[in-house]
Amino acid sequence: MNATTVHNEKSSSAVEVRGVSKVFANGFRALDDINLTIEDGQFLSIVGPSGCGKSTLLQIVAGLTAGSGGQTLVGGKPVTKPQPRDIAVIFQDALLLPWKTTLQNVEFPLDLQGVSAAERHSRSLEMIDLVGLKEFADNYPAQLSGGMRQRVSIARGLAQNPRIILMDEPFGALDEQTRIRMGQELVRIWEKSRKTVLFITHSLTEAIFLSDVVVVMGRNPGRILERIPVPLERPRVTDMIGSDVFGQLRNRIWHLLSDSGDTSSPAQNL
Amino acid sequence: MSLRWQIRIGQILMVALFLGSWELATRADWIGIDLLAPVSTALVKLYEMLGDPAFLRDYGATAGRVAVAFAIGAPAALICGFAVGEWQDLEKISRPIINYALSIPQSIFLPIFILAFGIGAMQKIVFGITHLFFVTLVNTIAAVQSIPKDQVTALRSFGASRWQIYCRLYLPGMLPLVLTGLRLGMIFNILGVLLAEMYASQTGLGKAIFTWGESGDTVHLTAGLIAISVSTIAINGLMRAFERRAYRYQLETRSA
Amino acid sequence: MTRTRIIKIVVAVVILAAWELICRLGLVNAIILAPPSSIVAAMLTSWRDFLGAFQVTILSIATSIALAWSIGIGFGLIFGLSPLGYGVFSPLLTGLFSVPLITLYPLFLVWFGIGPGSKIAFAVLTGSIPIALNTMDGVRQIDRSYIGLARSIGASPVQAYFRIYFPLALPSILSGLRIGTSLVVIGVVVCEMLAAVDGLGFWISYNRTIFKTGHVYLGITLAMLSVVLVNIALGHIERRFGAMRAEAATATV
Repeated sequence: MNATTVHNEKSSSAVEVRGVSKVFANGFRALDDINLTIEDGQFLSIVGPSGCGKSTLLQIVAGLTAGSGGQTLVGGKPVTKPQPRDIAVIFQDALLLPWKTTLQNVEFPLDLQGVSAAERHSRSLEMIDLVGLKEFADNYPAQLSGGMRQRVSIARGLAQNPRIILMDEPFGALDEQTRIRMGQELVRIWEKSRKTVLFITHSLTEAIFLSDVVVVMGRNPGRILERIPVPLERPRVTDMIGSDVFGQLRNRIWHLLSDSGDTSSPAQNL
Repeated sequence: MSLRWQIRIGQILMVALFLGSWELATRADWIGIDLLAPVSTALVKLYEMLGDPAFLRDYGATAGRVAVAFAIGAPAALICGFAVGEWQDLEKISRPIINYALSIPQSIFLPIFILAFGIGAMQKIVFGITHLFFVTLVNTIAAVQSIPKDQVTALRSFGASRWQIYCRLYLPGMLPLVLTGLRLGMIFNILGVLLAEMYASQTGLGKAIFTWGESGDTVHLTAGLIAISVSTIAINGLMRAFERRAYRYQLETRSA
Repeated sequence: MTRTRIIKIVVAVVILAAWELICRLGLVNAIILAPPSSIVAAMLTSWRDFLGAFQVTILSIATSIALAWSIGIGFGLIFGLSPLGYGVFSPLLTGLFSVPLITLYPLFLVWFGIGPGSKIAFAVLTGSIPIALNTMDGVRQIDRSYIGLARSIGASPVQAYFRIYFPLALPSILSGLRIGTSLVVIGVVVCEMLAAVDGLGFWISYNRTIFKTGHVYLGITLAMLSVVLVNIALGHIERRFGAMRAEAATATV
């Protein structure tokens, strides 16, 4: 069940991807006619094997890369370049600046935009508190664990007060335990702030647990296979992972991926 | 176009731009002949100079000093470097001396060398040796220390003789760094000899270009500079080629 | 006063004493090796001359350092970030550096005459190359993702360079500054030895011609002292940024 393709109409959704494709110089079709809508306040995950173009799609929505065709709209306006006030990006690496404290790191985008010291201070502290790192506001990245650094990165993104948050496998570099904890943290943070989120991941469990909608992509060429709403209630709790509903969803996604010929990704059994 | 090709073209472009603007600026007299000679003129002059016995004598004098300094200094540095790297006690004693020697910039001791050795060929040779010695020494020590000690133990447990260990393990392992040390030593050697010649000498390329500079003979000066630059770039390039082959050789023997 | 400190001081004193003794006993020709006492004597008798010479040299050194740092770092930042820029210029600069640049000094003499101009031209050339090379290396090693970060948080190119890339590359830049600055100091002094009418190098050379070896050694000591002072200053800068930076290598994941 794909989102319907609507060209040249006013968009009221937070994110609308219309017919986006991406062809690289060597002819490789990374993305083929992608159509996607994310409503305001929705948490949408994209899962798929390596090479299905999900990161490329995120880069296009973020304005960091240009698509070869089609259009991306955020808040009704076309995206052609990065828009730090509307779009925040969380990368797989926390990418903190090692000589800045947590607070300074979170303030940094606001600092660049010329926000007043008082306001960026208060906004940043609020977000640092939200991600649960209030006691670590004056620590340096080297003194924080991987999970904590990623939380700082998330706080930084939230502090930008963006329309949408894009997360490119933010927990990919973390060990399993931390990953599960971070997932719970993220759910808690999101349920408080209710931002619109586009979340990329390899992990089916992560995707289902966190999201309102899971979009499954296939590769060669990169395309959307199916859009699956997640009927689980909020607030989410980890017990849901063992439930029948959860299991059925996971199976459904798993079969989608294996039927399209791709069970190569190592994280499929999560 | 792949990056490698872009880079190659970029480099060629840069060099061409440099030579081109040099030639243009001097020919169009934006830079007068009293300041710099055009490339073409200098090259023609250089061709002439190759037949001039005076120039050849100077070039030969410099080259000879560089060669002798290298012939004496390089083996000395290699032997000392090997000894220091291999025997820990020696290393402990020598380390502070080496560190002090390295931190002393040798070039400013030039007047002392003149006082000690006069202005003859030997002074230049000794000066070149001191420049080359420490660089090559340090690299050789590092080369020896880069041999994993556990591999030595392993080979010895297989009953390998000392000689075999040196040939099979040490040689390929040390070769790249040793060659780097030799190349850098050569560069410093050339620098030392030329500097000494510029400062106080009766013969040699350094003296020649200094004299040309003083008398404002830009044509000869430019030609001389081209000769020196081309020679050193060629030597450097040649030694780097050996280095690169040594790295490949090392990789091959490692996997063997 | 740690134990190693005491040992170092004792060793230094022993060496000085041995040095003095060797000279006193006439074991080495007095023209070649001057005893420490003669250095002190030279300092007492001619300090005014040397101070004047030192001032001239320091001025040239300071100017050259300022220029070499800005040119070297600027060049490195601009061209180091792109793979093409790095691929083109890193080998070219390395190749240029293998040429004995001191041979260009007579050319600079023709251009600028005997005086600060020619010295500074040479010193800046010699110093900026290793600075540029190390800066390029430093910038090149920056995790590419930081570029994405810089763009996504809305940093203008200028902001990105000054506030993100430059600090990230700082460790490499600092080691380049060490090498380059030493070369600048030595370069100025050597140029003064070759052709000048004043400055430390000139005085060293002049005193050699009149065989005042004590003065020669004094001059050399002062020159070395300058290098040491510069390195200490750099050490301070390194420490200011270094504490946070030493852990920076592992901080990105």
